[in-house]
Amino acid sequence: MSEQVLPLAASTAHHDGPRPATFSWERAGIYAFLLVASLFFLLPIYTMVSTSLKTMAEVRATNVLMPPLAPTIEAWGAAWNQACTGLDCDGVQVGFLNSLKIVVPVVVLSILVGALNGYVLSFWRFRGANLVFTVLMFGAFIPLQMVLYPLVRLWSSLGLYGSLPGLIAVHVIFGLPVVTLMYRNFYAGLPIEIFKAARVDGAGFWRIFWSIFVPMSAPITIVVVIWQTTGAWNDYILGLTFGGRENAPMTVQLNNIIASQTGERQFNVEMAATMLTAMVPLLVYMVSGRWFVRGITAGAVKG
Amino acid sequence: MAEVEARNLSIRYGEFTALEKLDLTVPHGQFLVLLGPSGCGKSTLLNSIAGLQPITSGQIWIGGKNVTWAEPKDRGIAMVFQSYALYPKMTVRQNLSFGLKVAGVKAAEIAQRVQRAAETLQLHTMLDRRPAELSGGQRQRVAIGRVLVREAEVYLYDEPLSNLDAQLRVELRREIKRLHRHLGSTSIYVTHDQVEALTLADMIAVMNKGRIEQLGSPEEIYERPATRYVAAFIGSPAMNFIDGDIAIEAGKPVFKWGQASIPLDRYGFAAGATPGKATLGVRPEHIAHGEHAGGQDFLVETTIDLLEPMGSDTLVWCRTKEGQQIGLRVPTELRPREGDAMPLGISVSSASLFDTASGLRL
Repeated sequence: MSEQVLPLAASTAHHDGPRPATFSWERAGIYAFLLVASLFFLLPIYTMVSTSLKTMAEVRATNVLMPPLAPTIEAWGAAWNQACTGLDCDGVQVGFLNSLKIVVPVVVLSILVGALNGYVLSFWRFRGANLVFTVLMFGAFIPLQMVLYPLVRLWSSLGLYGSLPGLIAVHVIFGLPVVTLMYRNFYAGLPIEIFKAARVDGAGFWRIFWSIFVPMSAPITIVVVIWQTTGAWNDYILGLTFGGRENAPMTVQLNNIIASQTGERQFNVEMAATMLTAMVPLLVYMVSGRWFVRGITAGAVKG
Repeated sequence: MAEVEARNLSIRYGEFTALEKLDLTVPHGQFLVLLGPSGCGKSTLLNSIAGLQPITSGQIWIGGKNVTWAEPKDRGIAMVFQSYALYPKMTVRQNLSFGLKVAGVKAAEIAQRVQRAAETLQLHTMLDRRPAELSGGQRQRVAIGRVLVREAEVYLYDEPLSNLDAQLRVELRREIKRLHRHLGSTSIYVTHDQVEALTLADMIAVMNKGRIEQLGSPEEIYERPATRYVAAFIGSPAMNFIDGDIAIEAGKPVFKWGQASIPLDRYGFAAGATPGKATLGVRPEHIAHGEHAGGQDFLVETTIDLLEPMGSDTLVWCRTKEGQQIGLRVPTELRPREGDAMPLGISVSSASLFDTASGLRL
């Protein structure tokens, strides 16, 4: 035994400080995978950006992978205020404004209702609270198509069909299960003793909500803002079904531009219009991605 | 005057019974400690007194009023929680004034009360800080301060020191005791720490499985535990238990342990001696050793099995020939050594006898 231990002890005698880095095939494999994965995602984006910066003449003359020889933002301008949907040629700006008018109220209302729901389900446990929560969660998994037609009938009998408030309401309702779940889980992660202390302090239902829990909700509210902004902005089917011509969001308009074009396809304008449509969710992710991750994990550690 | 009373109180969650027909009276100005292991119902009892825990049946009375259905804020109570439960987005000052603001107390009065509480607890330099900027001890001070400003008649403490490190725990324990003396209001304090219970309490209620096993002064609980459960729970290191039989020899009660028989005439039986299986409980600190071993009611030969030095004292674990383990405290300067012979003297007057089957004190 001792003969086997001794040489080992001798060879490790000079080991001191951090262990030196060594090459390993696992690591090489990881990097190779990462490289391929980034190429896979970057290539379409590259194609879109480079095509949108070309003139139609150049699009026709060059390969799709070639970089623009004389970059111009002409196509972007055209996409913004000249691109045609049918007979209207006002660009995607109309849809952009419509989408803003939809998304802002949707996000605000979702936060208010979701936070209140989560607060009640976490702290004011009423009889049947679990059942309500289960039913609400069930709502998260119902395919949209199933309720689309009944909802159209209901909305039209209520006079909400094709109106902005009607569309906003549909968004808020369909977003509610997930938003409620987010707030409920966030509040469930807070010490219930804070709630008890507030009750001993004499605060009531609304006071505890507004003075204690709303100020603590920033991390999860950021998550909900990102979630609902991207969700409502990227939505197509609800906007198409419930928006009517007047309130068609940017996604619907983009589709109309691309689908309704006659004559030569203006690839550069279409690419620019698509980029413009994707801009808002993209910006939201870039600016707040860090907060998103932080908010998702906020319940895990004690603040 | 704020006497606190639980009358015939039961709390059940479905099949599980947290409290069973419990009666408890805490006279005005007393410091009662509810002591027991986790899950014994002590926190449930405290929360039901606070009005934070719905009850199944029974009544809660505070200050001569039936508050069974009253809101927490209408019970004249204030409460300190284990996790401090400070409002994280408020400053210390806002934390202290929140309850008063809700109650509609005038701003000048609030400022005055907050100032007074802050000075009592040495918090006046950190009134504008947020809880996150405070240490654990400071946070718990703020939690106590929040209770102080309410000027309540009954203070409830739910394991307030459990999250603190040992040194702070001792410091704050003293502060809580001083505060209670100073305020003279009724306090109910939940803990699983027997040292906290013994040091703070006027009265200790030892709880087990939703019942109060014994209610009494710290001395009573320590010296005359009513059940084997209480005897085992209180005291560190734990009481030594020796199983044997009570018999009557020549008209006198004796404790038969193997070949030995220990005379019990100096033991204060609660209701006379009856023969039967019994357990003799002897506290480690009541076992005589060395030159004092001989003068006791009974001498037992042991050898030292294991030593646990604790600074001034050393815990000595001895073993008899029959394999019975007995622990005792010995001053460290006596330098006991493992393997040494250790004659031990047991005095029955300071010991406890329990019925082996029921666990009740004899």
